[in-house]
Amino acid sequence: MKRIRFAVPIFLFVIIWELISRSNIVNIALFPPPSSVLVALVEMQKSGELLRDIGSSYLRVFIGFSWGASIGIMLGLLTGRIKPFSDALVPIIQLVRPLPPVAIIPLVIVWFGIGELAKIFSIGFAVFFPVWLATFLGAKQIPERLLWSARTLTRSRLKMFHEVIFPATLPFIVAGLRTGIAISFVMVFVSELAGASSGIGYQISISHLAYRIDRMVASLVILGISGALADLLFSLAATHIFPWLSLVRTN
Amino acid sequence: MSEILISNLFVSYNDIVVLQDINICVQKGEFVSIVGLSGTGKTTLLNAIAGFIPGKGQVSISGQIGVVFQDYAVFHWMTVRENIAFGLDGISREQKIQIVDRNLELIQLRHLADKYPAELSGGQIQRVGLARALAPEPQIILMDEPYGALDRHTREKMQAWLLEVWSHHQKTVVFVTHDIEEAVFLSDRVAVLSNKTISECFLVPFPRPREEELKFSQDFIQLKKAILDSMRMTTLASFDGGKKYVNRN
Repeated sequence: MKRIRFAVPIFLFVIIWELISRSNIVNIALFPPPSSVLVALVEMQKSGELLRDIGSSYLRVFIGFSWGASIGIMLGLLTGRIKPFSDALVPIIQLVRPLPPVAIIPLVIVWFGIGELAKIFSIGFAVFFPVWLATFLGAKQIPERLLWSARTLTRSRLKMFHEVIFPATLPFIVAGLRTGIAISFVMVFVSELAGASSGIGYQISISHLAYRIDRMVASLVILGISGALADLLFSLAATHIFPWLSLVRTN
Repeated sequence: MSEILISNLFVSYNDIVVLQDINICVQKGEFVSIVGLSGTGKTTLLNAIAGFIPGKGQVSISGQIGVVFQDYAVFHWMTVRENIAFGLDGISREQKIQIVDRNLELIQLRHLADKYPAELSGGQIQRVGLARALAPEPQIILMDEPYGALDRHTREKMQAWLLEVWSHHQKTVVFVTHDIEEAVFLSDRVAVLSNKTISECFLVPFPRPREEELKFSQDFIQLKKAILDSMRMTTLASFDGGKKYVNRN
């Protein structure tokens, strides 16, 4: 039932889009109907481009997201809970954070060239900030009394971090990571516009040059679905690994 | 021998004195309650005894402490079993399992051992909180309004159960509450906190084990009234000394 309710608006949207594209109200060359987009998708699939592009984009997202997110979580916990870390790092992070991550791409290309490293670096850089901020705020909001009572039970600082501070921050971390996932898809697209020979962003950019609007739309659809799917998989995985997360949310 | 000895304790937050000249000692195995109106610093006193917040003066505690708070009583990311095991460091796996099982038995939650706190009722969560504090076998238990959020019925059940556990384990307990009836029913001594200090201490003479009916006896009600009067008197006295009142006369 829930699935049907989710699918109906999408289905209607596709139908209306098809009708409008074929109704001569708009230029069909500029607004290809879903049926032509589907044909383009099949064509890309047959030529092997589709899998190649998806594969390289996903790999970049995965590696870039992983490094950006892990450093974000680590520094978020440290700056959120340990004062010397916070004193030393927060001013720097807050200064760099307002930069639009896209703005660093030209500089990154100068540093790392146009290869994989540049793309992975840009994605990780962009993912770092929302993950750090959420983790930092989450670690700061842990009620003192919770930490006090934990401290009467263990002397191990490592155990405090691992079994109390980390899980107490986890709902915030999850929220930060979900923002990070969305941002990593933005960044993979942008970083593939220049200096790439594969990837969904690359496909959009060469289809643009070739004026293949059906292919552009097809790639956009893939990009959109990928982002939504990654987010869905992530939240499923999170509640699978930490079953209490869903309990806490409903309570 | 006293297990908790506090003399001339002063606590202030940002230069505002919250507690002054606190003197109290608690004997081994004694159950002492601290009562007072809201905002008199009961929780602050408990936190100072536990060493969570700094104060001037002497606080000496002989032995390990366990604390039970009203909120954040348990870790909601751990199952009942994991919560109880949290404080058990440096012992073998088998020993750990044994101690956890024994405490599960004690709080009668063996059947819910693998549930998360979000799946339990308020009273059950409080029992888990107490079991977690008891598991490492501290000599002293500090409790801050542990039953403040429970309904009357559950509260009474929890009180009876706490007395049972306490008499079995011979722990020293300091219990903070705003409920005088609860304080009298549970304690050997009730300390009244008002006007930033302990203004009076009442001995509770009723023999143990105590039954619910005790709460309706004349002596019980009289003691309750005396404590209530003491709380109010000292509060009024502090108003009398206030400048506003004096000027008006």
